[in-house]
Amino acid sequence: MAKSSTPNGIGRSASASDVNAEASEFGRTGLRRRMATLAPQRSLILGVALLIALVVAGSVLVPGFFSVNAVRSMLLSASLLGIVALGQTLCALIGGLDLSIPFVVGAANVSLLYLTANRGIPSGIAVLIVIGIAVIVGVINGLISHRQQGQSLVVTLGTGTALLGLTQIITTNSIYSGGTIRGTVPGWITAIATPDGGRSGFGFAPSVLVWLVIAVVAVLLLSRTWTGRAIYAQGGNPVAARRALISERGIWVTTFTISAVMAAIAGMFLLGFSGSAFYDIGQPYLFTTVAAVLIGGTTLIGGRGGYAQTVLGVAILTVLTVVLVGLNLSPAAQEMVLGMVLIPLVAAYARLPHPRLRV
Amino acid sequence: MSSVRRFLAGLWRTSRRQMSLLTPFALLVVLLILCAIRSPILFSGGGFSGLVGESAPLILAALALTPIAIAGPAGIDLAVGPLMNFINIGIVIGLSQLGWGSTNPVLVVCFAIGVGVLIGIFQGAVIALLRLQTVIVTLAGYLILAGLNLVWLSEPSGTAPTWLYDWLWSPQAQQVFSPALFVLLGAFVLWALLARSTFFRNLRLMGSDERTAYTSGVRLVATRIGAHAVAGVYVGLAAVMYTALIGSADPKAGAAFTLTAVTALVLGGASLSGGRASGIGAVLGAVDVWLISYILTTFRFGMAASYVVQLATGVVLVVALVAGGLLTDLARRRRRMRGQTG
Amino acid sequence: MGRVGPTPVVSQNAEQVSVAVDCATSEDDVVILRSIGKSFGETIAVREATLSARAGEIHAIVGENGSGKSTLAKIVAGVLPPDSGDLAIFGKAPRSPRDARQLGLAMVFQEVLVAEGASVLENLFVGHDGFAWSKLSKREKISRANALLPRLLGSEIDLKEDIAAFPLSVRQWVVIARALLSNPRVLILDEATAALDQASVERFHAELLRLREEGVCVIVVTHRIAELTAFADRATVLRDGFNVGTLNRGDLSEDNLLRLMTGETATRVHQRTESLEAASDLAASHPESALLRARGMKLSAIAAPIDLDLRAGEVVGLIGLEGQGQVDFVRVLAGIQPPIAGEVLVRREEDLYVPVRGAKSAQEAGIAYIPGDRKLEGLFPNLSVFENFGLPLYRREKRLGFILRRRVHEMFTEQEKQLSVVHGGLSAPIGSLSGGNQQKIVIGRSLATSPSVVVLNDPTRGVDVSTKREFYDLLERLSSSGKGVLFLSNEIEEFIGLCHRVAVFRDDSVLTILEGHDIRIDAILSAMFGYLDNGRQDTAGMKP
Repeated sequence: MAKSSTPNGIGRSASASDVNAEASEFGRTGLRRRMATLAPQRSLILGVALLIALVVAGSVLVPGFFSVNAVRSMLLSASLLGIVALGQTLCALIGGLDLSIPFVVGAANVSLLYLTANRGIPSGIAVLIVIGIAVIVGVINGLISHRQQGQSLVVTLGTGTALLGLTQIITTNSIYSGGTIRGTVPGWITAIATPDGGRSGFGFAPSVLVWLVIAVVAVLLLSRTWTGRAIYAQGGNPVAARRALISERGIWVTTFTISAVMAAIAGMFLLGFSGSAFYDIGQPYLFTTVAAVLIGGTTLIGGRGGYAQTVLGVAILTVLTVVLVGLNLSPAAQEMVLGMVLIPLVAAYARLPHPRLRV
Repeated sequence: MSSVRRFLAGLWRTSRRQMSLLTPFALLVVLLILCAIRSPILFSGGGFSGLVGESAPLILAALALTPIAIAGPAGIDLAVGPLMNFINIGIVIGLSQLGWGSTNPVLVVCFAIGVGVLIGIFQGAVIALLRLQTVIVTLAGYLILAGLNLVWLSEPSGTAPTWLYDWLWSPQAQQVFSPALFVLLGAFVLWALLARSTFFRNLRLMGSDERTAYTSGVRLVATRIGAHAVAGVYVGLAAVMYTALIGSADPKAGAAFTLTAVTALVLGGASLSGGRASGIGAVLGAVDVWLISYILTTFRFGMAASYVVQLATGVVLVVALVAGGLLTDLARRRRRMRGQTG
Repeated sequence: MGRVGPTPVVSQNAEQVSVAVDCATSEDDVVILRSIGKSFGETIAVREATLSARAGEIHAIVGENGSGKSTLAKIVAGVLPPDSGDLAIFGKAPRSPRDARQLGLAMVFQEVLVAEGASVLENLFVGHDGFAWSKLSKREKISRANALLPRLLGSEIDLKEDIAAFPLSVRQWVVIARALLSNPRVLILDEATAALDQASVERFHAELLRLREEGVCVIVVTHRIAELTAFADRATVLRDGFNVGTLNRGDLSEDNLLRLMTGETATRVHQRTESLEAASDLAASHPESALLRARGMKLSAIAAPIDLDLRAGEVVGLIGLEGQGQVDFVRVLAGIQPPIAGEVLVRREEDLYVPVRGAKSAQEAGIAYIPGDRKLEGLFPNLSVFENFGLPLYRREKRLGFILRRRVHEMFTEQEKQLSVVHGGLSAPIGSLSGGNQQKIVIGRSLATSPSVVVLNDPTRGVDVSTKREFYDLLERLSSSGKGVLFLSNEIEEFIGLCHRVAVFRDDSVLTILEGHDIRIDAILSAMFGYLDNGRQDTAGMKP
């Protein structure tokens, strides 16, 4: 018996009719039956409604919510989260999770400054080096996670920790003070992540454009290409995917590599934003990426969801953060609110089927 | 003659089942040898009590993760670190805020365990009743508790009760049979009793195949909540020992602690996807992880010391996973060769 | 919702059926269902089902795949709540399997539900204990288990061994024993003999008769009507979710049952009356045309090597008792599993044979593999009807990575027509299709690649009778168009009149190959048990 047929997987054998069945089980009226067929759209409707509600709340509660500066900074932080969340979305689609993202973001952030400021490497080459390291990390993540099905969470936690530890060891002998590395950030990197676009003359951070391009390409590739559909197939039924000659290992490696590269890109953009490097600059992305994916409606079971939905989740999270900041909540309190918001949202559209439906 | 054969067959069976303990046990032997070379004082009375005292929180936290791993599927409790922090702050600051004071050891321990169990039950109930994935709910728990900890106490401060501090740091405690050791032994005895209980048997069955358990009449919700309650007991104990160790309250150590505890669990042979874990494995894994960081501190890494530990923890975790996976692959291949597909 | 008559599965030649129907309830009734209804989303599984069963009787619930019988059984067992109607077991309605257990009910499900990693003993007593206390001591459990299980299995078993070490048939017995050990007053068995071999099935029937003597109400859900005419007291037939009638013992004949099940005058659904001409005819029309060759293939270390040729236009059936190697053989041919030794050769040109290594080279060589367990190996539950069809085809129908949707759409329309696929729209979820139509999607996408060899791994599992008939016609069409067909099945009747040759497997090798008029049920059955035609029994390497 193939390994992914074990019933104790994360509900992977749940079929479309199971989701419908669960919905109709609790009610006998025709309305419920109709609601059941809306299930895939349910997350979309709820998500948009939530976004609108948050924007309304923001405009009321936060002075200057619609000011140019506020919108610019919202766009910038959304773009960074959005870029990173692409990787998490892909991993979630095949039933995995990439927890190395915060570590890769931090490592890329620190490494880029270290390479350019301390080692004097030209910024273009430094970027390539950082991306190259991210590729290596992603490949390792993919290979090992593939072999250890269901353990990608732990695997990536391990590789991420190791990577950041290694980066810190290497860079710590240079100019070190209080967890940061000082140096001068190359000008063009600063420009990418400046809210008003800085030298680029766009009027908003160029990272937003990068995000836009990435988003369009991602949605297109996911829906129209062989690899994109293979990702969905892999998440839906790995055994059937193998029969269809989808390389399971190839898919895992691809998704985790993309995730690592996206994290590295975001880490490098963040360097431009803050002007100096921090090891733990990636920490917030641990839960915000998962939250954005979940809020967008991509379940962690695999095979359902997509990046367009994650974009919605990113928007919701960004606006929510602005609202919370505007309410003068400390970062710790914001973290609390996010945790409390997560549960009802997930409960609305990402529940596991009851065992009775899998008998 | 047949009884001897049956005994040997039983031995063979348990050793095959405990293949997953091979890695952490072998690693333990290697690490102890390294310890003997690098830092023989570990084997003295004072050194041993130090080992016990410093590794106790991790051992207890790994035990706390075990019932949730058994309950499956993909049972990982990300909130264990912040929860331990939360109880730690509660002991140092909260008790006096409540007006109860922390001079009574029984009160403090009951408080710690009580809070752990309550929050554990709450998490377990959300997971079981709403049918949400454990990792998502505990992630939310992690966020809420980590944030709550910082809101409550923004910087490490406060002092632990003196009697608790003395459990580890008093001169009388620097011997083999320290109070900390007794706490651990008590926790082990409790675990041994629990592991043989009918409740645990139901828990293992549920973790192995939820449908089989459900259709045979096992109470899924109660069993799952029970698993989280047991976990809460051990998190409470871990918090007590952690408070003794650092002598104060620290709101920030949660995240790293979760990682270390998960590493210990996985190193001990737990299979998260298969819903399999053992208490012995968790303890072995925790001791291994602690010994690794201890041995690393005997080297002079200077400023980079904590980073080296971080690197080592990550590497050990990944290597343990790969090794464990290779072992299960080997077992499965051997079974297929014998013609039993499964 | 008014009482609508059942719609016949096949609309031509439907006749009104008049057979003695007994729906009267009596005082001995322990299980009473009235107008039970249950739907899953758009699919209505059970409608207006009314049923009653007594203590001390064996009551069969019969129907084709998709008739709702499994769903009904699960409702009785408290696993699924009904949408409408009443259910009473000893006067009470169970709302969960725990409730049902407390009422004295036990059920054996279609899927063999065991907890791997737990011992046989633990698996036998799942749910027996309370939440945190045992109702029986371990010694008592062991003695009860030893009193029952060896008798059912026909051999001793180590109760402490992990159940994962045992094959499917042993696990099936453990699941049955588990139900029996709860001392049920009502026992429901859903296709419980599916994983048992012939000898075990007889022990199983004996056990059922014993239970009846003890006053247990036994409900047997099955589609194997040949079995139950021997021991069932009454049989309720379901069709399209309706109860179309209950037959008493006297009226329990295969013909009557079939008539109620399909709504037609019965001609044996499975059998064709003329068996095919011998393979010699075939050889005459397609000389030297082996499409596929298995050479020296060993499926396990001690097995005898297999040499088998598949000629163009030939249909070869594969069968064996459980675990005798026929499934492994099919998987090796499909490239999914490597053999221990030997190879699979495919004809590239007139005298050129190329070895096949792995699933990719098998597919590229023109070997199509069609799985029977489509939920496991075939379908993507998260994708639409169209994508389930197209996904394996996307790999070749793409340019620069982008899928050529129009081409795949054409292929879909073509196969849809050829196979008469009934569906509710291309973007409907695959779960909305019936089992038979789902299987057609699986078959269609393989046929769309124009393979030269089609290898089918128990393809009619869970498929209703009329779809099965369409399927046999399809196999005939494939063979007459010059393709080679290898067809593994567990229902011997399917081979008659369909296969040119039947290979019977035993001990991971081919024991014998029957041809032409030798393809008879008794001959196949004897061979499966190791008895060759001349009465000699093959004892080499017999597994216990």
